[in-house]
Amino acid sequence: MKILTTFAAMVVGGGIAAGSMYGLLASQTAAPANSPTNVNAPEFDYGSNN
Amino acid sequence: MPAPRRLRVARQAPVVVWALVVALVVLGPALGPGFLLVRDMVWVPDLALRADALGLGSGLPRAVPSDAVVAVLDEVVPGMLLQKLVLVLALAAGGVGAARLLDADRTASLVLRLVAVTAYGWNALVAERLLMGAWPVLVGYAVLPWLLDAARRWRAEGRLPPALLVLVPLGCLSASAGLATALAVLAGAAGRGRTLKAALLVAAANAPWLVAGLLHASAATSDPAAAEVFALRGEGSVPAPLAALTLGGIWNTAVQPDTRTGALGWVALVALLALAAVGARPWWRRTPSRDRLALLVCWAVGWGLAVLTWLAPALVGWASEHVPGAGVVRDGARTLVLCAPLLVVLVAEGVRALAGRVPRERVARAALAIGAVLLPVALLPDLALGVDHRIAPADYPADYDRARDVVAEHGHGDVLVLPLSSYRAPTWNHRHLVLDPIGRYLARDYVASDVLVIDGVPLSGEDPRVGDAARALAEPTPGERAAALGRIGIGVVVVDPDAPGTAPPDVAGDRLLESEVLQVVALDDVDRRDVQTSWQVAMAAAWLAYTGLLALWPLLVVRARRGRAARTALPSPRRVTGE
Repeated sequence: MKILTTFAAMVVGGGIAAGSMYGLLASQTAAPANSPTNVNAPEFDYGSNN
Repeated sequence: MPAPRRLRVARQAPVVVWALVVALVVLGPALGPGFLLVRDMVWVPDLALRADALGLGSGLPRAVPSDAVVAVLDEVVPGMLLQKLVLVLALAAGGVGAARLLDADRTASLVLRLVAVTAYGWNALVAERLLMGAWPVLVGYAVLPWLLDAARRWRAEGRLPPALLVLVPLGCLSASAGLATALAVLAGAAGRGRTLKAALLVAAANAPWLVAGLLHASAATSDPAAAEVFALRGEGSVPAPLAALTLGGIWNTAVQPDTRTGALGWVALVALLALAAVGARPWWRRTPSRDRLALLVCWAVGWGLAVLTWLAPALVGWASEHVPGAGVVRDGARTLVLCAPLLVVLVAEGVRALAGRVPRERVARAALAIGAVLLPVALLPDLALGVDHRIAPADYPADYDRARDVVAEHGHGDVLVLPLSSYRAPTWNHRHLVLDPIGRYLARDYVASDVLVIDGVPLSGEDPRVGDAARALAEPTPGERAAALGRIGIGVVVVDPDAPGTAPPDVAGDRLLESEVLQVVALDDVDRRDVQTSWQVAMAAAWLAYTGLLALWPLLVVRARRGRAARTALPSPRRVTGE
């Protein structure tokens, strides 16, 4: 039981740490988000509900 | 007996360092040279302390007292540096405050306090408010746990902690932040003769925007349609009330982080709520009832008001239309700042409870500690580096300086900013959306559109002078337009040719600047816009109350130190025995 809990703690903790690093790297290496503004619109939207 | 100062500093140091690391990773490249201009966040090199910053402009005072505070501070620290300092300190200080709140009984381990730092500084609310440019809300958010901690000391020691005289004005840089601050102070300190003092304290700190709002009461009602638009909103498939439980659910889907709208949104909800549920029982047992009450009241009001905007937008719309100032609560997710302290404390308590069930193997405990501290990052990775590079520094074009100089040297009267549209997406600002910055850049009072367009639908603004200016521009000839503008106190017209929409009509006058970035025209006959004396007196009183708190702070600090020194000097009472 003790071994199982230790293993589970390592898997959960290590998984989250690895997930954090992967998420950070993935979000930073993806193409930068385009500006949501449409430069041809008569007026820029302050925001959107859609 | 309190721990020696050296030990207290050593205990706090890793928490402060981690909070700074979190803030620096959140902002990342945004901390480079240049100004961060995103939606409502408009900072300029040298903001002028003018009538509208003091609450005496013609429109509803939306940046009171934040603009006045910045205008004073940037006389000491350059605007660009000041903006970065404010953002870094706001993001870091909130986490440190949350760790203090958790560690009231000095039993929280370093890991738990680091968990509190990350959970407070790395969440959907921080991401969404950064992208909205709502920096006064973030400052208020940072101050909140410190307020609750100071209120607890007030109850315990029976004396008003001097820190509150700085924290409360800092937390009241905008109307919504001021209301959250007021609630936190009252929830934390009310009772046993403190209620009146606490009420006076928050009234003084909120006086500038409150009095300015009352003076503009005729314009202080807002478009009822806005309540529906600004209501709490779901994130992806996560319904609004559930998104609010993890501090998300802003109305503007354009600023909701991508990861919150996908499967990770659900994972975040389950993970954080599970930890909070595990931590709830031990927190209840460990925490004195009065401390519990303060956190629960804040959470219930924050979540309740947010969900009300989603549940009954018509009611909120009716209140916004008929009750001056009620529109403050229409942005539903803004009140969620009040939910953060309890959520973060419960999550950290959940980690404490789980840690108690893990065997003492060092590797397992270390893995779990790292996982717990980094959990908020894993759940929202796109908050890093300027919210996935959506906040980036920009330099103002040189023509902005030229415009400031020529406007200062020539002409008189207020500035009209054209075209009459509120937001810009200039190429020099990476096409990022920002409230037209030219008005703030110049040193005069200005009139600019305050209409908000959401999904192509305009929501009416509140400044009556915008309508007057639009009518003046509708006159048939340039000369008649200039004369009509002069009659409403407009002395200078500034046109941004890069702005979208049809070019504004010509206005007769002296062309002071003609470039691809800005055009400046000075008008001839300009009537002076006078501010009523009663308004000036009322605002002077409000500012006196606000600055009075800051002035009282050093006095209270000295008094508290003398009191401590006197108590230390007293001989300790001799134990009386039966002998």
